[in-house]
Amino acid sequence: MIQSTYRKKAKRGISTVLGVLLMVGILFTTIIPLFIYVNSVNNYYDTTVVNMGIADQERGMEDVIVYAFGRDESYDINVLLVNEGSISVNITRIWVMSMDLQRINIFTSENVSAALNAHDLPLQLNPSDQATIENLTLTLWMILDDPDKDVFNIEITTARGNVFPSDTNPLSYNAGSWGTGMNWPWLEIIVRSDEGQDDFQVDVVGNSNNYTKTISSEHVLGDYFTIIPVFKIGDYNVTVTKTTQKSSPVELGTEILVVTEIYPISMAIFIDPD
Amino acid sequence: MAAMVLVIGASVWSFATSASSIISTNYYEEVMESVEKVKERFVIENTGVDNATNTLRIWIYNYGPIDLTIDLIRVTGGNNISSQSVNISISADEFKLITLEPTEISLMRGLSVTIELRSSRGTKAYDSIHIS
Repeated sequence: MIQSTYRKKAKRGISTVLGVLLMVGILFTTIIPLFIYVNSVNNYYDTTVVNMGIADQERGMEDVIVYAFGRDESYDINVLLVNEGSISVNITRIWVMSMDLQRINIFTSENVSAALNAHDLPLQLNPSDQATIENLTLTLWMILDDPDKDVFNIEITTARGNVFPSDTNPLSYNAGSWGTGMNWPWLEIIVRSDEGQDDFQVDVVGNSNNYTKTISSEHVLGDYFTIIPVFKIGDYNVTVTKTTQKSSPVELGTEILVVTEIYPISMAIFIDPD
Repeated sequence: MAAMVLVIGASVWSFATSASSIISTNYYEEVMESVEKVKERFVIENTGVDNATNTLRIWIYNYGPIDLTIDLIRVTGGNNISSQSVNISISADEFKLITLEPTEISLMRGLSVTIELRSSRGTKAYDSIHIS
């Protein structure tokens, strides 16, 4: 009698154990894997959002200053590029567009080469780097020999999708001469230097007026280029000093620039012997 | 009793497995759609005009990491709107020219034109030009 009751109780226990085992089986083969899978998918989404946020932030950090100048007696344009941002940029295209948007020349890797234009496109510029893409020749149909229509805006685009217009826009062409949209004279200063990292200071003093201006650069790799507005025609003393911290300041020289008109820009070239 | 538990348990297990599979697949697809939308990046790099043929030339640059499809171009000029459904695929890092004839708008001098592009994922890009 006692044995019979024990067996009955034992059988009831089996169904409970089976039920628990099945619940545990469902938990481990279905619910937990689903939870882990959903979490990993969510992580992938979050990672993508963060990565794209970083990409957008980097895009916002790009800052390129563009100076475009026409070369007289030709259909050529030189484009000086200065990376003022704290991030490397890849210049992918240069646009020359007539003001009426009817005529557009696009310079890309297909028609710009180091052999013809001093640099290839795309052109990578590290922070503080400068480069001049030279002799971008406009196609013949761009120039109509009509001063009212031969007015162009120049822009560059980067691999991150930014567009930067030239500070000298618009360029105008009239009977072999180029002009810029600038309202006052500028001085163009170039320091030819080796590939080391240098700091330079440019001092400009107006002889015929009270104009003084000091510009300092930091951590320039290779050549240094800057243009400085002087607002009035006249004579200007330009002194360039190398101020790299490792050594005492070295004066690279002084030149007198005589500015008689807004364009073409007066230019001085200094050589860094080191 | 044990047999009943086994049958019901196996049914629940089977249902839970298939439901979990469907839920995870649907969830994955929805999240992937969102991920692709988050990744999508494009810009109207520049716009040109051809007065003679009343044509707009729109250069689009896909600077994102995934391919995209432009499905709507809307051009607004003055009080007129020209809306065209298109199907233009642009690969990642591709730079593409689209020519468009906005039939309801006459591209004359002095007109300010706004261009809106919409991708199949709903992302939009805009550009404005003044025809001088």
